[in-house]
Amino acid sequence: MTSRPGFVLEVDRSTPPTLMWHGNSYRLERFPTGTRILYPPEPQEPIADPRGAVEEALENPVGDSQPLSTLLTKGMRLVIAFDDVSLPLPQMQAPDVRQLVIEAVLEKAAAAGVDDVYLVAALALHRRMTEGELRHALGSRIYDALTPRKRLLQHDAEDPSNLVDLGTTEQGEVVEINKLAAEADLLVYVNINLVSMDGGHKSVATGLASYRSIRHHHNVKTMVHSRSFMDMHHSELHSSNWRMGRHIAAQGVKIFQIETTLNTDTFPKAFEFLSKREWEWTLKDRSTFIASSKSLKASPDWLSRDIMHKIRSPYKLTGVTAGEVEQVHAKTLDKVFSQQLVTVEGQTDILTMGLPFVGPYNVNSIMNPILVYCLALGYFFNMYVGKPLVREGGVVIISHPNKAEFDPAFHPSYIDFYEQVLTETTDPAEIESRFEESFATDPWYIHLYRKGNAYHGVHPFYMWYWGAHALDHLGGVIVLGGDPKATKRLGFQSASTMMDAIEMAKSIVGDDPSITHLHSPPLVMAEVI
Amino acid sequence: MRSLVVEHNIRRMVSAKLLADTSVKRSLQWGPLALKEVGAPKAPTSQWLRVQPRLSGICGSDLATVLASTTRYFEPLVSFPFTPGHEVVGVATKDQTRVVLEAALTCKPRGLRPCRYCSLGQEQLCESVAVGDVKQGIQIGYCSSTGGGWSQELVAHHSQLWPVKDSLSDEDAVLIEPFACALHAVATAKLQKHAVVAVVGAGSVGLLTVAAIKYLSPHVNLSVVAKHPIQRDSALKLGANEVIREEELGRSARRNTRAFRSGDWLSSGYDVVFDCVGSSTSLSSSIKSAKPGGQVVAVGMPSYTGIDLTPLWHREINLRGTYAYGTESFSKKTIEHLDLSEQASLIDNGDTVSIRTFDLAILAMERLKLGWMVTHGFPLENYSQAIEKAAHAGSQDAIKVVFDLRKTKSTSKGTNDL
Repeated sequence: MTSRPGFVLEVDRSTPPTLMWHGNSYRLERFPTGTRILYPPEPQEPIADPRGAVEEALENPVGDSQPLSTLLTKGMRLVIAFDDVSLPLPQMQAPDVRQLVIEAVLEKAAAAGVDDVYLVAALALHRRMTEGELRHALGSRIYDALTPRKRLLQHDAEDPSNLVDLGTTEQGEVVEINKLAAEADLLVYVNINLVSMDGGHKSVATGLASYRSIRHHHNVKTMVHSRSFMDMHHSELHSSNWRMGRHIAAQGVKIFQIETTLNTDTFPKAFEFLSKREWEWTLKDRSTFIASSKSLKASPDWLSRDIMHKIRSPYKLTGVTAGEVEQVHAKTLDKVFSQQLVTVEGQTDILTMGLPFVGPYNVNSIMNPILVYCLALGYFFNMYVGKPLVREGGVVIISHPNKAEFDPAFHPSYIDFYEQVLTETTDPAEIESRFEESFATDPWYIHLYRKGNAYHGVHPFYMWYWGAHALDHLGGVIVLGGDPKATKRLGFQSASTMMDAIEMAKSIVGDDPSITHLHSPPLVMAEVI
Repeated sequence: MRSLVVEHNIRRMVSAKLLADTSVKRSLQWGPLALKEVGAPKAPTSQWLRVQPRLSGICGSDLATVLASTTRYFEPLVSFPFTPGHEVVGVATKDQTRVVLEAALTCKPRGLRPCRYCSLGQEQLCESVAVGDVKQGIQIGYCSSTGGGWSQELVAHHSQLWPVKDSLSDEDAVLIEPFACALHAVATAKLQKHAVVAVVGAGSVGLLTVAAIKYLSPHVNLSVVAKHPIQRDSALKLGANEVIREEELGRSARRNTRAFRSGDWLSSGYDVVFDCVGSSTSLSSSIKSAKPGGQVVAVGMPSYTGIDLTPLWHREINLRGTYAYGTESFSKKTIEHLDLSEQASLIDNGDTVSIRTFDLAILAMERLKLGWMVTHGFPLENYSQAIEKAAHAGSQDAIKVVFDLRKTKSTSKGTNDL
């Protein structure tokens, strides 16, 4: 069966109500006639033999790389770095693709007599993964084999004894990365390219870097000039990472990059209606929708959150490429775009989006207002190549409860960011200049990042910068069904119904606006022409 | 003359106490305070002068008195019936000079030789508040011999009256007495130049404490706990570095001092916390958010409170009360920074310089002009409205509420927003 491409539906009187995410729940929403709804392509056919495909990729690398088996020699030190828990979303059904690839690499290493092997979770400034998350990503066999020997590590961007300064790029960017990885005889990086922003040189140059290094591209100026950061050819974020990546290679760090792509088969059988087009819902789909949406709405937040975070996506492998970083990534991007890209004619005055329960930074946790902001204006807004879906001066309407709730273990600095920073200003540049350094160097946040499961103190700043391009571009943001106080704290307006939100948006974009709804997840990316 | 009078009537005091939490209006209706026609107070000696109040403030201790929500601690230290009102700007009838009242009834006004505290300039600790030429009363406003500011006339010892320059408005002047209290609280805390400090509460006492901190120690990093928009805006206007909610105090202490925390425990915290609320919640959070060995200064009048003193013990916190005013001591450098070196009222002690707190308050007020904090004025006839407004000040966009006696014959029933 071939998958059907994504498309743009124009709402008419016969269009059924549209599914709209609202945090841990969802509802059906009727859009005005003429509204465009951007539907994602259906999941692509997966690779029939994933293990065979991995083997094939490892032994037939692209670029000037040698087959992996020839790079592995007895007595060498092998470091395998892998993407952390922020990918994929939701977590995929076991076996995770990282397990699949790393098992293959380890088997080859064993066959070559390589026993000095380390695994490193490429956290960058993300939180440390829990044991459960590591077991899920790697499989218990790998976890149990490496953990007792302290061979399974998590990158620590604040451990000066395990960072190495590799100098600066031609533009003066400090390149400081994980010492163990940099000094290994071979660094294998195992990636999951869920969206086009991931992978390439960003894997090592960000995933294994220190704050000193990351700050060169995770800043307001870079983000405003990344249009979008899902399109590496127009992304200053990527340009900086590419300069760093090439510098790392020039310093003699030998990297064997393995990138994987997944289809968009996001929801398991029980929730499969969430991926379907509404007019194709069966009686069972309708019943499931009613039962689940009502139950989730009636449940306390902790319970509905717990239910949703237990979802494991039936993602399947659609591509695996190994070898030299840039050539690998070019092939990966082709694959990602072929799955997610939909052509859209012209921009819109109003872009609506329903935010789901999970984003990259709240896996097994609470989506606090700063993450709501980031998911909407950082991620969903940037799901374009060419031009943004919404015109300059246009309005984004976000559907989400947006409650001022925080996970104190995972997001401690977010609480202070919300209380101390957002009460002063929402301007990204001012936030950066006035507050970033004090949060980034706060010893308590550093302690919690290193020893607990907390995001780095600077992380909420990056979330805010992630939306800087959107803030720069938009005329207004309205949160539909959100907590009014928290919404005001973000600098946005509140509305209780979609019609109210559209009326409010008209005061910014004028009467008779064009409206486009981003029907996601599953992931969809707009190529606006 | 008309005067608001507090009678010693147990039944009315109990009624006021019971009703205060549900309705200030009813509490007043059934409480010990009443507007009466009374004779003017008699001057105890020839050294006492008559004063006609122009503005007379309503402070937290006044509210606690008329709503009978204070403890019985003060009972032996007041004499009934008395007229409240100790924050007073008025006119001395003898020569029509405008004066502010230093209300404390210490040895000198009482016609006594200075006690060991008064002789050291620590009049706030005076041993003689229940003896001498006048009846018991810690201040004018709690003494049956003197009358008080909530009336058309009172008497005061000449040493208690300070002339007011024309450059100060009545609104500025009426705040001198409470500002002197705030300056005393801050001066005795001996803040270091870059201390990390918090003020809990942003009613008039809290805001005057903020003003005093920023006047005496402009470089400190100051967080202010404020509840209502007018309080938040005023705190920022007075120079607070950040304004926070009460539940944020611990987190603010942590981030301002880059401390580690485990639950409520902080490895560091504020150098000094000025508690201007005096509730069990505010005192508890103040103690928890002060650094080990730090100070908590109780500026607002506390009453019965239930607080966990374990952190006070474990962290060796100094919990200290502060009352009224006396004489403050500063380094010469501080006096220079305050531009007060030329003031005749300074007493040179060698390394340090002393100044009466009231003197300092008047000089500071000439610079700060805090009269904008007087937001509402009422005639005596509308005392119920006035006290209700003062009791709910922050939530009703008020800071300092005063009785406005400038139209002595006024029968106006409406509020006069100043």
